[in-house]
Amino acid sequence: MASNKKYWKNEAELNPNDSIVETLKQNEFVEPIPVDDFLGDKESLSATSTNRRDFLKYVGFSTAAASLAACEGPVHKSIPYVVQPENIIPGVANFYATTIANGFDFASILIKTREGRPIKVENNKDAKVAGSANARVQASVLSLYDSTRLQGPMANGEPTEWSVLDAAVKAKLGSLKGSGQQIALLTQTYASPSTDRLIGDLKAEYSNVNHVVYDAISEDAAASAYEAKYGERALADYDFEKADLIVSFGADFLGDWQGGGYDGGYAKGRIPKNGKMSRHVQFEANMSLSGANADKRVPLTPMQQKIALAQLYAKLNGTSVGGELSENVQKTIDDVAAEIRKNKSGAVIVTGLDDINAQTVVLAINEMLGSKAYDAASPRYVRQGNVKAVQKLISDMKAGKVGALLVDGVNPMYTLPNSADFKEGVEKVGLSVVFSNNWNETTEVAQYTAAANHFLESWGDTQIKKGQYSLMQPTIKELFDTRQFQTALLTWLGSDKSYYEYVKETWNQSILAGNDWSKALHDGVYSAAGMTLASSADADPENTVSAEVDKEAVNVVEEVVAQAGIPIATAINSLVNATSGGGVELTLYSKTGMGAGQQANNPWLQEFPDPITRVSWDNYVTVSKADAERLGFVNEHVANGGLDGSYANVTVNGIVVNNIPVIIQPRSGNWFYRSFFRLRKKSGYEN
Amino acid sequence: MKTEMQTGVNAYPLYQDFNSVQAATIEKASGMHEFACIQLHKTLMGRGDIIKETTLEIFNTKDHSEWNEVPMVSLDHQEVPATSVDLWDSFDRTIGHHFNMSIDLNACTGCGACVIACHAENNVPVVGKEEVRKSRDMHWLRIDRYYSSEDTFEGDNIKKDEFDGLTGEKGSLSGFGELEHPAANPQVAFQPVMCQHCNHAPCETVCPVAATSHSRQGQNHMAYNRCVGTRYCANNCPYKVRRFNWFLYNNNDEFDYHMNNDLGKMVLNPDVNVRSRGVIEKCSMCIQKTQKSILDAKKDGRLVKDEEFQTACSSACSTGAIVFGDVNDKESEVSELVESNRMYHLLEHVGTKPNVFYHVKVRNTIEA
Repeated sequence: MASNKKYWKNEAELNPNDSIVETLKQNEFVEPIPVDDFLGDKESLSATSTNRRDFLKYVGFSTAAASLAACEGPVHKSIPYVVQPENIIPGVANFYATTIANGFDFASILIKTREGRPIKVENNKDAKVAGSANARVQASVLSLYDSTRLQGPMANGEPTEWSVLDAAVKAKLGSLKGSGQQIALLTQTYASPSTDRLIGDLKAEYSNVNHVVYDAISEDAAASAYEAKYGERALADYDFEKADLIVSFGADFLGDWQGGGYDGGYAKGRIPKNGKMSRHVQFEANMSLSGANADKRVPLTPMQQKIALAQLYAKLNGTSVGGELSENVQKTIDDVAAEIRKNKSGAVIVTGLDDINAQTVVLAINEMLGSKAYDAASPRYVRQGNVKAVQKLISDMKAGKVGALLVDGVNPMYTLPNSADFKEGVEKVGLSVVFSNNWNETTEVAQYTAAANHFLESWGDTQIKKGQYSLMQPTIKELFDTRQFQTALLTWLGSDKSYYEYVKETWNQSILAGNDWSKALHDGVYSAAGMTLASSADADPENTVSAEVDKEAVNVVEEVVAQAGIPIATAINSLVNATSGGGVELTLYSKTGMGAGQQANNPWLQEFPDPITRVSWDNYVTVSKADAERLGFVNEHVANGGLDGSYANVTVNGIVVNNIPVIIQPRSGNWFYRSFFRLRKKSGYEN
Repeated sequence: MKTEMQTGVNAYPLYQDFNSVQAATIEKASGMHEFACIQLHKTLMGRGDIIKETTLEIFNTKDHSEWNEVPMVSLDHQEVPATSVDLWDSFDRTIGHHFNMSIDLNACTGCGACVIACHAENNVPVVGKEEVRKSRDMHWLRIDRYYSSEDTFEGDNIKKDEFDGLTGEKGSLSGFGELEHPAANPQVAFQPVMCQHCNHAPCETVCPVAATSHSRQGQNHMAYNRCVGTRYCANNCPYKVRRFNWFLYNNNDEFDYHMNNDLGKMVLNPDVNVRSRGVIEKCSMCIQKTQKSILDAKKDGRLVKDEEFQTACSSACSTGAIVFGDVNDKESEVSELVESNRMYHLLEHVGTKPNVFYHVKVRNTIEA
C-alpha cells in the first residue's frame, strides 16, 4: 500500500532548492570524516591486523566525531588568573568593611566578595551605631550591577570624555572666581568629615561657593528644633534599649524616621526578661511598622497628634491647655502621663511630625524627664538638608545669580515638589553638572552628566553619630568609566591627590588621634574615645572647621539664618491651635522597600512585599474602610486570585496626582485622614 | 529605567513645602488597578495557635501551660498532648549537628531585611508583577502579617470559642464571615515563615522520586535535578513554603530582570545553584553556609563555635529575632531558646516536628 505522505525532518527541507537539503541528502555528515585516511589505502589496510575490535573502535570514533560536529555547547567566557591576585582563593569569600551613605541610608556594613565580585551585604557587628543593614541596604549590592547604569560622562545627552568635562568645568569655575555669581553645590547629606573638608577647600579656593544640602525626604523640622536648642544642625539620638516606656507621636522609628536603624535597640527591650519589658504607645495616622509593633496604638490625625502632644506636656508640667480630643484619647493621655510620672527617666517621647513646634516640645519633654534613652550630647548627622536653603537656591537660579551648579546624589527634578521652578532655574545657570548612577529626570535637564560611582566602587567616610566614624572602601574596581564626586572635585581643584589619600589624610590629621589607619579601615568603624558634647570640639577640629565654613555659606545665602529658639509656651500654643487646613489630612510616607526611591531600578526591592500592605511592585494610597465606603472605593479579588483596586485622584493645593491605586487598610473609624506614599517612578526613560 | 520597573505613581508633587502632612481632597477615578498582593487574607480568624500571644501580666503570673497551651488530640478516645502522638519512628539525632532556628515574635518588627538577604544569598529569582499577581512569587522566606478582627487577637479567640450552632447571633456561619474583616484599629502581628524543616516532613513522604529528603542534621533537602515537578510536596506542605519554578527565570527575555544580563548575573552566589524551569525550590536552611562552617572547623581541627552557624536571615536580623544554631551543642544560644517556656512550634497539632520554632508574643498592656 503506497502512501503519499511525506515526512519532513526540518523546515529547510520545505524548500527543495535549498542547497543544504541536497547536501544532507547526499551526505549524512556535513563535515567530512577522515575515514578514508585510514581505511582508503587497501594495501596498508590488508597489511594491518585490523580485527573486529579495532573496527568497532573506528566506528565508535566516527560516530563520536559526527555527534561532536553536530552539537555546539554553550559558550562560557572565563578569564584565567595568569597571575593570581593576592588574598583571593577561588571558592573562598573575602569580606570587606565599608559604609553605605547614599543620602537616605547610612550603615556600616560588611561586603562579601567572591573572586572579586561583591555579592552580599552583611551587618558589621563591630559598629556601635548603624551597624545593621535594612532591606534596601541588603539589596544595594544588586544596584551595583544595574544594566541601565551610566557607563561614562555625557554632554547634552551625548557620550563624551572626562577630559572634555574637566576642561569645561575648570574653565567655568575659573571665570566665576571672584565674580558675583555663585558656584552652587546641591548635594545629598554626606555626614562625611572628608567631604566637608574638601568642600571647605573648594570654598577657600572660590569664595563664592554655596553648598546646599538637600534631603528628598526632609527632617528639617527636627534638625531645626535641635539646632535652635543645642546650636548644631543635627538630629537628637535615642537608645530605645534603655527605655521602659516609649511614647511616639507619629514617629515611625522602626521604619525610616530620622534615618532609621533603631530597631535593634528597641527589640532588646521588648524581649521579656525577669518579668519586665518595655511598653510602647503609638499615636499615629497611617499604620506604620512602629504602630504595628506597639502595645497600644491610638489612631489620631496629625492635627490631633499635635494637640495630644501639647496636652501631654501640660499634664507633665502640671498646667493645662485647651484643644479638643475625644474622651478615649484624653484618657489615654492621662494614663500615659501617669505612667511617665512613675518612672520619669525610663520614659522617652519621639515625634515624626514635620513641625518645629512639635519637635521643640519633644526635646523639652525628654530633657525635663531626664530620659535615659535620650542622647542629645551625641546627635546623628544623617539628615542635614535645609529646606529654606534649597528654596533660596532655586530662586537664586531663577534670578540668574548662579553661575555653576554641581549636583550630586539627588534627583531634584523628580523629588522636588516644585520641579518646574528648578527646571526654569537650571536653564539660566551657566554650567550644570549632575553626578548620577542612572540617566534620570535631572540629568535630562543638565548640560553635563557625570557618571557616578556606586558606593561599592568608592572611597569615603561618614560620621553617622557624633564620635562614631566609619569608612567606605571600594570592594570592586569601577565597572564603567565613572568617577565619584569627590574625585572630580579634587581634579577640578587641581590636586594630584586621590580621594583615598585625601580621606586617609583627614583621618590621620583629625580623627584617629594617633591610632592605626589600617586597623580602622579593616574594622570599617572607629569610635573616638570619651566623646562628649563639650570635648568634641577639641577632639575633632574637623567639626569646627566645617562649622565655620557653614557660617560662610550663610553669608552668601544671606536670608538663610539659624532659627532662634522657639519659646516653649509659643510652641505649645501653636500645637494646641493646630488645624487640619480643611479637607482630608494626607500623610505622605516612604515605603519600606523604596525609601526615597534611589533604588527604584532594583528588582529585588520592587518585588519586596510591603510589610504592612503585603503589596509588591506598586505604590498606592491607603484608605480606611469607612472612608472607602463613603467615597466608593473598592478592593476586590478577581478570578485569577489577584487583587484589584479603584483609582483615586488626589489634589493638594491645586496640584493633582491622578490615578493612584487605592488599598483599603484598617486604621480607625476616623474620617479625616488617609495616607499615600511618595515614591516610585513612572518616567519615560528606558535604556 | 527598564519598562518593568516603571511601576507606581510619583507622589513627590504632593510634598508641598516639604511637609509630610497635607490638606488634600480625594475623589474616585474610573477604572480598576491590578495589584500584585502577596497575602490576600488579612486576619487570623481566631486561630490562636498560629500566632500565640499573651499579656505581660499573664506571662508573669500564670503557668506557661495556660498561655502556651500544647494542642490536644484524641488517641484511643483520650485527649492527649499532640506532641506525645507520632505516626513515625524517630531517628537518633544526638550525634553530630542538629540545626534549629528560633524566631522570637516579640523581637521581630517585620522590617524585611531577612527577605532580601535570603534573595541575595540563595539566587532567588525575580518573577515580576504579573507572576506575583498569580501567586507565583518565589520568596523562600515570607513575613506574614495578621490583623485582629476584634480589637485584640484575644477577642478573636473568645469570639470563636463562643460560637454556638450554625446560625443565629452566635452562629459560626456568620461569625466566621465577620472574622474575615479586620477591625478598624486592629492588633497586628508579624510572623516570618520559611521551610520549617520538619523532622516528620509531610513533603518528603509524598515525593514519588525522592527529590526531597531529610538530612541527619535536621535540614530538609531538595535535589533539584531529581525533581520532576509533580508539586505533590507543595500541596502537602502545611506551611506553604515550597515554590515552583513555573518558568526559566534566567536568560529569558520574558523576565528581563538581573538574571537576564551578564552584568546582573554577577550578583549570583556561586555556592548556590540557579534553578531551572519545572522544579520545586525552597529554603535550604542555608546548607552552603552550615557546611562551610563545618568544613572550616574540620580544617582547623576544632569544634564549630556557636556563632559560626548562621543562615542568611539570622545574620541579617538586626533585632535578634532569628537565632540559628546547633541544639546538640548544649552551650549554644538556640539550645537555650528551645527550652524556653515561650517556645512553640507552628501548627503543632499536625505532628510535623519542625526544626523551626517560635516564641510566644508578649504584649505589655500594663497601664499606669
